[in-house]
Amino acid sequence: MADTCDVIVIGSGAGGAPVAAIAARAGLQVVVLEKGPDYRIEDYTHDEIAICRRDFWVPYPDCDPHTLRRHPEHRAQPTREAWTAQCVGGATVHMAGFFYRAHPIDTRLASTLGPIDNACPADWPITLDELLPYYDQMEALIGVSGDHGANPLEPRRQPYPLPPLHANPCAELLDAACQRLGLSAFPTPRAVLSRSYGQRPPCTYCGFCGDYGCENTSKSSTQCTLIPLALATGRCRLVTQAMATRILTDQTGRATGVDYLDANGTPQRISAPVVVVACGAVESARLLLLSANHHAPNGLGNTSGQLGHNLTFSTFAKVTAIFDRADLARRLPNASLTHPFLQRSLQCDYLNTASLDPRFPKGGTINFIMAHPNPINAAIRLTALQNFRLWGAALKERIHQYFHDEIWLEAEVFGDFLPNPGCYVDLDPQHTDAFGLPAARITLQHHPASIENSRRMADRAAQIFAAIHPSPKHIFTSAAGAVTTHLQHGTCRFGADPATSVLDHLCRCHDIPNLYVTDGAFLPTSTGVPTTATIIANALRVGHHIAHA
Amino acid sequence: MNLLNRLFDRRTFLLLAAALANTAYLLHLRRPRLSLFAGVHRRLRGPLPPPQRATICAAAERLLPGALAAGVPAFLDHWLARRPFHSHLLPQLIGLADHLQSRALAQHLADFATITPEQQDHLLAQTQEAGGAHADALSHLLRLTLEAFLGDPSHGGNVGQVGWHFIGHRNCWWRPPSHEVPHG
Repeated sequence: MADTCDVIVIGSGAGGAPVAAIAARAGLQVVVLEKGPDYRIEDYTHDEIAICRRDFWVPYPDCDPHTLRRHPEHRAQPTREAWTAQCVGGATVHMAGFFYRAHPIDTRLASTLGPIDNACPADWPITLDELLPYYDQMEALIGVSGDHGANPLEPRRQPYPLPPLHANPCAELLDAACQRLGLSAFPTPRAVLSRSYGQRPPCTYCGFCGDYGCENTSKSSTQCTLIPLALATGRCRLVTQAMATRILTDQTGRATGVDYLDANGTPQRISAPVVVVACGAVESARLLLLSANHHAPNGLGNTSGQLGHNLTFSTFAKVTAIFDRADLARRLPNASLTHPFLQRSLQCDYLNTASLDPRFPKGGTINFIMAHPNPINAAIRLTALQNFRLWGAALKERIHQYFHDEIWLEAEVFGDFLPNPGCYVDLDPQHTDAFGLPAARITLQHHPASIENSRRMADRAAQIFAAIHPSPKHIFTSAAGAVTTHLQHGTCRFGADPATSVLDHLCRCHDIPNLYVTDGAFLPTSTGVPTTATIIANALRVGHHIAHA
Repeated sequence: MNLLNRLFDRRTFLLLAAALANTAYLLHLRRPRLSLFAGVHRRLRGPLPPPQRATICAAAERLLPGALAAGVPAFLDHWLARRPFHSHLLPQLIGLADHLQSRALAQHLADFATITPEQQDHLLAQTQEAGGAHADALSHLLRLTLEAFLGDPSHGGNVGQVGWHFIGHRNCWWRPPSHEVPHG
C-alpha cells in the first residue's frame, strides 16, 4: 500500500520544523524526512573530541562530501564546508542561538543602493512588516530571551517572551568603552531560556552552547520545541535516517512525492499533494538538481536558470582581546569572571554610508562573546597562531597561562555577503556521496566590497576593545573578510518575477506550485545578522499558508 | 693520512654514514627493541608499527611534555585504527616517523626515541623548518597530542584527567543565582 500524507517536509531544522508544526496543528497529516538520527539528551555530552572534532554532526568528506573550489576553472576538492548538522533539529541543535532579526534595509538592498559591479542582490518580494508577526510567533513558540528596546534599530512591536540572559561582568567594561566612543551595545538576543519556559528549564550557564547540543533543553532548537509540537498533534510522523534522493512530479509538472532511502538503504516512496524542501540552501539546491527529469532537464523549478545561483554565506571576522585576569579582577572585585556569556552586540555599521565601502555601505553585526570554553580548540589555537612553532614546554606554559592568567574577549563579526555570479552550487561531475549521487559542488567567490566591509567592522571591534579599561594586553584579528558557510542562503531566491527567481513570495516554486523551499535558500540577500531567526519566522509564514491553502 | 683523506672525504663519509644508518634502521625492524618505550610497544599493538610508534610517542612527548603519562599512545592507537585517520593520517605519521628516525640515525647513530631530548627537539625543529609533508604531519601529531591531553578520557588520553587538572577545566563554568534554579 502506498505511503501517503498531506505534506512531506524534507528536513527538520529551522526551515522544515516550523512548517511541520503549523501544518500538523492545522489538521494536516505530515511526514518529516530527516537524513540524520534523532539524538537523545544523553548523547549531548561535553566531549569536545566526539562532538566537535569528529563526525557527530557532519559526515567525513570521504563518506559524504561537499566539494569546494575558488574558481570555476579549478577542480573542486572534497570538504566539510557548508554542511550544517545531519540530525533531527539540524543546525539549530548546535547553534549558539544568536537570534537577531533582519532589518528593513535587508529587504530593499538592491533598490536602496542601486547597481553594484559584479553583484546581483535583489529586493525581497515581501516587506519586513509582513514578517514581523512571524518573528513574534517564533519567539513565543520556541522561547527567545532579550531586552526589548535596548536596540533601537531592531524592528519589533512587542517584548521578548523572556528577559535577557545574565552577562559576564566584563560586559560593563565593554558598555563603558562603547559609550566613550559614542556607541551603544545591546544585550544579545538568544534562543536560550533565561527562565523556565513551558516544561523546559532555564539555562545552567555551562557555556557549551555553540557546537554542542544542549543536555538541559534550554537551547531552543527545533528538536526540543517545534518538532515535539508537531509530534504532539498525533498527525506528524518523523522518519529519521531517511535520505531524500528525488522529488517526483507528474505529467502536469506538479510534485507528487519523494523517493528516499531508509535507514537500511532500502528505496522508499511517499506521496503527498504538497512537498516542502528544507535541507539547507546548498543541499536543497542539490536535491532539486538531482530531481531533473525530461520535463525539467535542468532541475526542478529551474526555468529561470537561477537554481543554485546567487548562493550567499555570511562574511565573518574574529577579533580577540587578551586581558590580564588579575587586572580585571582588580577592576571588578567579587565578580565572576568565569561567566561564559558576554552577551553584547552592536549594529552601528548595519548600513553605514560614512565608514564602510562606498560601493556597498552595508555592514552587519558585531557579536561580543567570551572565548568558547573548549580546551582543545583553545590549545590548538595558541600554537596555530604561531604556525605550530609553539610546542614543548613553552606551549604547555602558554596553555597554563591562557587558562589561569588571562581572559579572552572576542568579537564575531557577521556581515552581508553580496551575491555575485561567481558564487553558486551545482552538481559535481567527479565526486559522489555514499549513495552514489553527485555531490554538491560549491564555487565560492567573495565580492571585494563584502571583504572590505568585514575588515572595517573588524577594525571597529578592535577599536572598542582598545577603549576598554583596564586595557587589554593584546588585540589581534584572526579572520577578516572570511566566510562562515554555516549560514547559507540564496540558491532558490524568492521574487516576483519568474524569469529571475526560483520561488514566489510564498516560497513556492514558480514552475511547480505545490513545491516549496523554506530553508535559507529563499533569501536574495544574506542580511547583516545570522539568519536562523529569519528562516524560522519565514517558515512559520509559509506553514500558515500551506495549512490554510 | 692523505690516502684516508682521499678515501673518506666529506661527501664519501656522509654517503657511508647514510648507508650505515639505513642498514641499522632496517636491522632494527627485526631485532627486539631496547628503547625506553619498548615495554609499551609489546603490551599495546596499535596500527602504528612498533618502531614508528616508538618514534611518534617520543616526538609527542617533546611536543607536549607529559604526553606519554597522559596516555597519548593509547589515544593514537584508538584513533589511528579508525577511518578516516587510518587511511589519511596513519601513512603521514609513519612517513614522519621514518623521517625522524633516519635523521636521528644519520646525525646521532641512534634511534630517535633514545637520543637526548635536546637532540630530539633539534630534529623536530629542523623538520618543521623544512616544511612539506613531514612538517604537516608534525602539526597533525601536535593536534592529536593536544586532543589526547585535554580531551575526554573515554578516548584513551587525559589519564586521570591530568590535562583537565592542569588547566582547571570545569564542565560548567558558572551558575545562575540560586533563586533562578528550578528545585527538584
